[in-house]
Amino acid sequence: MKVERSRLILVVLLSGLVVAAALFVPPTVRALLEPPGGERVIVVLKTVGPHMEFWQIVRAGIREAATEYNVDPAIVGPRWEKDIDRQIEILSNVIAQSPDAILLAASDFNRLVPLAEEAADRGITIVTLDSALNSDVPVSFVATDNVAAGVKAGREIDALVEAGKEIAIISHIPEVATAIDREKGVRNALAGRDEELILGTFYSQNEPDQAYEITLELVESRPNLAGVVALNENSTVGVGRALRDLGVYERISLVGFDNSKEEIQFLEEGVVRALVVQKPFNMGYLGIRTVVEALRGGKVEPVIHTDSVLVRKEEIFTEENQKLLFPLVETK
Amino acid sequence: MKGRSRKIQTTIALAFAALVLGTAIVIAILSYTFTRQAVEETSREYTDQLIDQIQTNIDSYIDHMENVAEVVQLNDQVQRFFTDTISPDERELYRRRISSFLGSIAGTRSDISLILIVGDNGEVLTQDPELKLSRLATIPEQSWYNRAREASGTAVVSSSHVQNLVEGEYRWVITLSRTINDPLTGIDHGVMLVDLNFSVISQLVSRISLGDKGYLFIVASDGSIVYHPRQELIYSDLEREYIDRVLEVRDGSFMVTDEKGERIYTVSTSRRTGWRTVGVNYAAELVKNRPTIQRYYFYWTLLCIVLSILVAVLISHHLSKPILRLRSSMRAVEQGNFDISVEVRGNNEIGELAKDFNIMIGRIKELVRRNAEEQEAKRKSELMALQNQITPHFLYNTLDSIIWMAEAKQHTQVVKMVAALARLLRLSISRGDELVSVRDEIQHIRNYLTIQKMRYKDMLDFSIDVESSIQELLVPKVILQPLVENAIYHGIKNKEGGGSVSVRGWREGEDIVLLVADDGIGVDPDQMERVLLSSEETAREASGDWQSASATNNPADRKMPERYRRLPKRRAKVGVGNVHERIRLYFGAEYGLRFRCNEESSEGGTVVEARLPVVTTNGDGREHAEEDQE
Repeated sequence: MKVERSRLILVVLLSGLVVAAALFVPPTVRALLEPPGGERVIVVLKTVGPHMEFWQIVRAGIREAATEYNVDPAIVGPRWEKDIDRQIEILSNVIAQSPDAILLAASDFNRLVPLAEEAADRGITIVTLDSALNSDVPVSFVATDNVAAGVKAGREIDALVEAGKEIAIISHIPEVATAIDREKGVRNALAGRDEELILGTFYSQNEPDQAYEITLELVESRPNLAGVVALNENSTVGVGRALRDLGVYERISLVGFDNSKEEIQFLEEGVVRALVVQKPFNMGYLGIRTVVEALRGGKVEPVIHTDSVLVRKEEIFTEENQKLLFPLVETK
Repeated sequence: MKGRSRKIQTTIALAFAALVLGTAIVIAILSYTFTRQAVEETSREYTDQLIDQIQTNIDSYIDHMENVAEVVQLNDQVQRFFTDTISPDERELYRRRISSFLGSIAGTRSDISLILIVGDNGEVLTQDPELKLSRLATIPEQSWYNRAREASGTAVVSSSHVQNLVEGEYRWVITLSRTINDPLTGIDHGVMLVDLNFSVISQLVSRISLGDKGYLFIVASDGSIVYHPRQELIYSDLEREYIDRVLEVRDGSFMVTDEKGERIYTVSTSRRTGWRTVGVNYAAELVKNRPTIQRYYFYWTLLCIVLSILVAVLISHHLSKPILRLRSSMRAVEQGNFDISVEVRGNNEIGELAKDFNIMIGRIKELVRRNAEEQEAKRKSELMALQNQITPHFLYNTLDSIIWMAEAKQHTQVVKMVAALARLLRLSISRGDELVSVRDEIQHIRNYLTIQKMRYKDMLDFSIDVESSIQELLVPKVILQPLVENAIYHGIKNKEGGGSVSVRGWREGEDIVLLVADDGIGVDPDQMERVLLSSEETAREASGDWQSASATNNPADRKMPERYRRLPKRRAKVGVGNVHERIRLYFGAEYGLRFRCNEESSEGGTVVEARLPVVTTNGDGREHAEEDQE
């Protein structure tokens, strides 16, 4: 009888234990019951100003991925893309908040490196977006494949300009990753041509007016010039304006980058023969996806490339291209 | 035994637990499924309604555009301007009037971004005369123009696209176009276009949320995307959309399962445009707080299971306890304890079992008691048989003596002996009672001694001295005769010159003491005590021994007188044992015979003392005296 009573007590105790265990289900079991998510991710962009359509589309992609992967990232950045000091300040504030991860579109290849390394020391996962950082701290770099984009532009100009004519390359800023890569791509595509006939590289310092001046000078001094490749939006706009004003765009072909309204008008008019267009929505989307994969233990590729599309005049209003060229920016 | 009984409790507990566990789990799963289905059904209905609502809204925009187009088509001035030939002076007036008419229509609704009419007469009119049309756009090459021409008089609706007709403007619109025709002749005179700001629709659709991840999209009947929140991803093959499957369905839903999980596509097709509005719900989100519901069911089921296991243990304990008690009682019975009664309450089978058990034990007890009684009775009757058998050899010897005396013609002696023998026989044979009065017993022994005295003549003397106060008390009959016989045969018979036997009796407190003393050569009292002991042992054994002892008195022995004569010596000892055993049988182990050496006699000898309780009435409650008078 005594043995039975003690066994009864044992059963009661065991049952109590089971109930207690059930009430304080270990986090591992809870993790199985609840969907993953809620990691703190902060996105630092080159600009969050309303005037930069490219970055607005990047943000739309970020929001789309955030919804899908159940994270709620804060998106911060300076008002002006050129304001590198402000971005450094913002990044240090962000690091002070110790988020789980930072998705960073660095305004400068070198100046943000010390901060990025400090963040990595604190265990913050860093993924770079659009522009690379001179550091091996970021676990991944999500950007347009600028070399491939350059190759697309180079091939187009190669096809447009007959052999023996000169082609000028007008870049924006030396030492900027996008400029370097695109130029490399263009030069690769033009490898079959006489090196002497490729002019440049000229730098517009990302100012349309500078590109304009450079073009005026080139048109005047190089009568054999038959093609120009402009490596970003402002350079393309500057060159386009100059060719239009001089009325020489029939003779001198221009292949540019990006898709501002002015550039598209140039494309429609025939001032610009083709535009290489990036996919900022995809960039933003893949940026967040990569951050989430890195945080949730998945293996991420060190470099993730988004593609680009070359659009000619007659291709502007195709179903796919019009979505790229005229993005619908939702105001959420 | 213990192990088996433990098994009963465990078996019951396990059976209960398994039953409850199974039932609880089945019920939990069923009710969870039911709840989930109900919630799923509700949210599906909600999605259906939502999508129909959106469909209706979009259709109402399209209807509005068509109404606008209809109003413009039927306008007198428009008709006149495009169908009739009018003077150049009037033309300018008409242009302004029609523009202001179109402007007033467009002004009513901000979602109409452009109304444009291209006449076959080369006139192009819009709602705003200031509006600069793009010189790059070649209208006859555009699809809205051609489709309207083909449809001739019926409105056609484009998918979402970028409108490039206005210089410097690239607006996402939905274009409705139709021809301007003469209502009488039906001849087309131009094409009219009405643009609806696509943001009206994209905002309408993008603001709807289906759970956290769900979304809506719209595809035209040719499969082109009118609106999709992830259009860029789809074009870049970063995301797949099941447009082909959507196009197979008009109204209804289907399930899709891929690496992104289970999704439900709800499709509604517009009768107006053929567009399919599709709601995509993640199944995991359909039941909005599925994890909460899951946990709710999980914890409650767990709690129920634990409770039921507890109850199962308690019930099994409760059920097995009376069985255990019954079992321990049975074990006690097994060890010979019949004075037991199981206390089991309740009217169930175990209670009845216990009751039956108690009854059975009562029966067994009764049987055992009766069996003991019967054994006793049997032994008593055997003893009776023995005491009755005392007489034959004595009778034979006595009759032998009588024959001798008769042959010697000693008539007086013969008469005396026969008279004594007759009295002796009367006393010992005729009485059925076990107990007789001391007086009768003394009378009996006196007759016996008288006969023996006549046989042994001078060799035997005897004296009888019994207190008169015990004369009427009762004793088992024929207890003195074997003692006296023993004294004669062992003490006196073989003694030179004979000896004497004295019989005495008195009361000692609540006891009667009857004593037979001789002064013969004596028997070793220890040897006699051994005889008594062996008789006690024999008494404990089966009565068969008594039979074998009496077998020596088999009538067949009479054929061998010599041997028969030698018998009394041994028989006397057996007789003494009988007496001892009979006294103990009647009165208990504290009574019986005691032997000792005769210290009163100078020549030695033996004393045997019979101790008996004072008994005044015999077992039947009848006075012995009454019997005596029979």
